[in-house]
Amino acid sequence: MEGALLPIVVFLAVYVALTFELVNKAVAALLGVMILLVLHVVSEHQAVEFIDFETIMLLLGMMSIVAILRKSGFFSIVSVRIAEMTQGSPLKILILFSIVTAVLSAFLDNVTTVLIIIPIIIELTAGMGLDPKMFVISQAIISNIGGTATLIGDPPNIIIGSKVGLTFNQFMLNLTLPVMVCIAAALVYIWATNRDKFKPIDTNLAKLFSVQLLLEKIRYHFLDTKIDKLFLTKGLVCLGLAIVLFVTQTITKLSPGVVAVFVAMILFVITRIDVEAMLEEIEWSTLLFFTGLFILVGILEEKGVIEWLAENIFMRVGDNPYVIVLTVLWVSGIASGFLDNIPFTITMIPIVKLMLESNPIPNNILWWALSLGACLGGNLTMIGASANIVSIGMAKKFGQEISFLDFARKSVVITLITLVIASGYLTLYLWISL
Amino acid sequence: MKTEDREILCSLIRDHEDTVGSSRVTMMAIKAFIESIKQVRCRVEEVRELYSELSEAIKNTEPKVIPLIHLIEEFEKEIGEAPDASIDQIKDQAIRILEEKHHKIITKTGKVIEHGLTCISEGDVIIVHTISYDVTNMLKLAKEVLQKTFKVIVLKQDLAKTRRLIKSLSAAGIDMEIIPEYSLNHYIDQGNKVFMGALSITEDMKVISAIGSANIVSLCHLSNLPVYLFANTLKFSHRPSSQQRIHRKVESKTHGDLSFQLITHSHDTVDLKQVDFLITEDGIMDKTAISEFIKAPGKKRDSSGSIVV
Repeated sequence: MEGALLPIVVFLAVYVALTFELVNKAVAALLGVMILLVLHVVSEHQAVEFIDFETIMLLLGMMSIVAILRKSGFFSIVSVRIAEMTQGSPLKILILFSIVTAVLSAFLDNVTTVLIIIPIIIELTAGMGLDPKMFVISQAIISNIGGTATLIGDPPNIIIGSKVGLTFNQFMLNLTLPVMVCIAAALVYIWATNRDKFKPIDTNLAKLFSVQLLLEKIRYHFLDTKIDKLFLTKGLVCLGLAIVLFVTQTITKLSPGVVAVFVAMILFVITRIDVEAMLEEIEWSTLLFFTGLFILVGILEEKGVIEWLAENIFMRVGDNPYVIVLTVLWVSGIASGFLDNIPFTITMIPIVKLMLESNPIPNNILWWALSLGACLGGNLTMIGASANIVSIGMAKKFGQEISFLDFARKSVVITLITLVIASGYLTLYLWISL
Repeated sequence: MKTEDREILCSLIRDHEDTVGSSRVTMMAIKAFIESIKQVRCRVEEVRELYSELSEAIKNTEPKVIPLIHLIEEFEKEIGEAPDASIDQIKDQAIRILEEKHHKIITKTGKVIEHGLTCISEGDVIIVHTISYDVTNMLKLAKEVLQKTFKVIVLKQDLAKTRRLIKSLSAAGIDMEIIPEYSLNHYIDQGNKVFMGALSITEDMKVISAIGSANIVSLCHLSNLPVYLFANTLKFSHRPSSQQRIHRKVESKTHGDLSFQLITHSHDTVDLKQVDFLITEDGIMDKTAISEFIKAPGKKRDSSGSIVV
């Protein structure tokens, strides 16, 4: 670990800055990189080699596709139709919106999903005199669980998929089942602990009247954009094309990053959209944040820090595969509740690779443990995932203050339940595989 | 009905009226009534009580939505008593009556727009403050269907309200200029007419209109700019303005080291004398006709109590 002290100090300083939000995430990561470049710890050519362009391309492509789809009004139509389908029944609001949130977050990023769902769910529940906080928290939690199901659903999965070379189908086949069970368990828990809030309203004429009026209001406010059907069709066809290409990755040999950017470019051309305006919708700071983190972790890896961490912490758990898998799952789960799961996953990937070298575990089960832990653990606290922070920020904008404790009261138990389900699933999978 | 449910209903109607105007909110409320009747599960002996409870709540919102009240009063009269009727028969009858009321307000509003279209001339520069959904549509029709060339000066107030108006006019390709409502003084020479809507016209000849409109109408009236008021006759109330129950809201505000209570009202009261043209479904009344109408000792009323012009 010669010359590792400076990179470790810089990395820890960046982590502290990220955890306590002292500066912008991208600035924190890139400043760390720049310090190491200025001090000649690493050359700029070496630094560039550490960047995983596959992940950056996938994120850039998906952000572009989502930005164009949002412009088409598609998400507004979906959310208004779901609101209409609920007819004001609190239980239907919870279930139907959770299904939509889970599906959307599996194919879009979680922050986009909550940006679409939270305003309408607050409008609907607050307008009906229900407590919107419970619904906001539930949708943030479901978006994090739903995002776990696919390669493109959550940043930890994008990173794992790209850096390890796991396909879209492998994620779907291995994670959809536990994710569905986790969603069902989370919904049952929310319903069971708030049963008085889910009473049917169909015997109350005044409430039914208010709901109908509210739905009119929602239609009026959320469908105020003139829908260009051709634009919408082009957007949906391209999203469908992207999903087909993700699913057929083993046949086409096209990586998800290439697929996402390729489809985004087709969309830019066929929709003749104002590209400059659309590029402003891309979260460049997130992409720069990823770039900086890849370099920082790459330097730590090169200096032997990751190997040391793996040997002295994770490999001490012994060589029992069940213990190894559950350790990765629970450590990832708890750490992701308090730390940003993106840098955590980037740090953990080389560690897990080293663990696999000394203790091979079949069927990528250790990677699924990392994915489930990093994604589900984000639900543990309000700061565990970007979707939580964004949901709470939006709720505040609509006059609904959600405190750290308000969130934790619901999220801690649900996270523990989902991690227990994931433990059961991984143990069973390992038992079958061995 | 629980106080909480009543408050929700009241605030929904108020919020909606504020954005789309009283005619449109009346249409929406009647449609909502029909849908809720279809969905409600109750016993035959409960159904009339539920109708009357909801009708009472609708009639006592703050502010009172006069066209809706007139139609609900008609509904109450027509639904009557049918002791041997089944629940489905009572529901069907209620839905049929409400559908007729829905049709009635649509027809009246359509006719107001029809007459209103004749008030827009080539080259007009129309000042608008808070016009309803229907008057906005009238401007769109004038541009898109009648191909009239005119300009609109939009007085920006609460962006939530003005946003929709700007979007609609912009989508129709209407030439417009958006200015803060307090800057009207600088534009008064450019405009040649003012369009406004109303929640109601009360028995004491006051126009209950959107907040901010009293200042604008006064300034335009002083500057001899003709004011056009669009209101179907269902908006004529048989009660004085004091009984209109204009909503008064008290909010606690903090700005830096300053904390205070801000008091706002949902609507303004404008003297009908300041209106130059009144457009109803029956036609266009000019200033003379309006003043004769104001002076008339006893106004003719139709079966619902609304004044016949």
